[in-house]
Amino acid sequence: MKTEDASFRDRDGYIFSHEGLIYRSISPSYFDNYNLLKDSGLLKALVDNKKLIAHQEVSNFTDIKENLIIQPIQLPFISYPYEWSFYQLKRAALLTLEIQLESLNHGMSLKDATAFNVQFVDGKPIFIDTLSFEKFNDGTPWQAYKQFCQHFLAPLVLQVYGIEDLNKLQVLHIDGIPLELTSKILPFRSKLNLSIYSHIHLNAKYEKKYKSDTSFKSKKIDLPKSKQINILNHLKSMISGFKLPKSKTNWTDYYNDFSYNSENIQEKKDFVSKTIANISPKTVIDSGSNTGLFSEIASKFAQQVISFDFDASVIHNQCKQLAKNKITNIIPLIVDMSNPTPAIGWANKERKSFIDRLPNEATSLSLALIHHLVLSNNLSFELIAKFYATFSLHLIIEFVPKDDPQSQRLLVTKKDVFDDYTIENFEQVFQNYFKLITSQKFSDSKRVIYNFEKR
Amino acid sequence: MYQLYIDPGTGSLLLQMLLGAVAAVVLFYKRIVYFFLKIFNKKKLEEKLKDGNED
Repeated sequence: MKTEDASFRDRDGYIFSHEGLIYRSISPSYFDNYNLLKDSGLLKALVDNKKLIAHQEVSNFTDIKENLIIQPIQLPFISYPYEWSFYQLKRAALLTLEIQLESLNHGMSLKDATAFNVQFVDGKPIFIDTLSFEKFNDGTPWQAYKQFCQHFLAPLVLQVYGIEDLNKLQVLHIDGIPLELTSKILPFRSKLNLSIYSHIHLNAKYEKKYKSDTSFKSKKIDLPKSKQINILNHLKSMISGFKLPKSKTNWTDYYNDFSYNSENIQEKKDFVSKTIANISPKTVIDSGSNTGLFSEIASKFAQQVISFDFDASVIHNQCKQLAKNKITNIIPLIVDMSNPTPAIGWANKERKSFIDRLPNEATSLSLALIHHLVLSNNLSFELIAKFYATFSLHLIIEFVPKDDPQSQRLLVTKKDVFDDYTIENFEQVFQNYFKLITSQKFSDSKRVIYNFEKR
Repeated sequence: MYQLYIDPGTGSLLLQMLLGAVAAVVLFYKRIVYFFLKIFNKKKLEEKLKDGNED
């Protein structure tokens, strides 16, 4: 039995793993609320609508008698808010508000609203913290309002105003982006928007003003339920209307670019789909997934596909595309292959690194990526092969030679110190870690695609 | 007051009292705007809903 490192903030219970399965232990201090969650019908309402993760009570842990143990539906992969695109964060925000509204309907309220309480399963956001619900006393404002603003509203609003690379700022602030900071970064014209002015700018001002006000406990703060519902509905309609600025979504289509003609792309598609169909893997990890074209091919033969790219707008567009095509077994994430999500929080263990969360023995896709890793990031074949070998049983990798237009583009402003960037070297180094199963040359370019298996 | 394990922030709690009143007005106003948009722009609105190409 091992307690999860992330599970220490809430005194009402904790998460632990046992024989590869995840359980939640509920302390007696939460029993009243847990019973209310069940008896009020809230649990059923949320689980039936796939808004809250389903669980069952188990009794096979006799050594922790005083606590109640529940086993939630097991999640195949845990992602973090700073890996989500605008599209995903917006949906997670709306889910949280809908859950709070539903809770109020049943006489309960969310006691926290962190984005870490949401995960993506089957292409949809789902709330995973069964212990977040508490009895609602009419008159109390929403206790988690500030947290909601920091975790959801701030990063969304910043992106609406065209501020990029938000996920990096989210990594720095484990409890959401501080409102004072958000207010400072936002352009002046955001103050002219009444909703944004009140939930961000005014909120930041109030926070600062009353921060050291200890007389507050004696003050009567009273907010009737109907007014809280007004605020929640207002937040909901505001967030529903959020859109990224136009320039951020018109990304250039790589596959329409010059290095590929339609024959090449068809050959590559055929190779990938034939190879993955043969393996029929549980998990495919598509690194540098770009438009997600090959993730979609992989999703037909794999149980789940984790596809990631460093470009936030590419991941945002992929999410939209998947929703349109009704593909649910792909999870697109913003992760930079050359600088993956670090572990953060207490003892650097609270939120795990991306590498730590990757499933073992996956099938890796690495298409048109190697030239970026070597020519732009100065990585060696040795480091790349070793890295893929840590989590991949199979590796489908495309070699892009130096004289390819895409490689040449990367070398325009850079000195070519890459004498060892040859196909012979590539094959030799990768075969130290992997066995070559098949490879195929493209008819119209010098690129080669390989199917490797781990030694 | 409840004892909480997260800091709800005094300012944020006080702000909600202010917003509670304002939000009702804003929502009411939006509903009126939407009502008129629906009458004059029915076609456009329907297309927008059909499209589903939202962010």
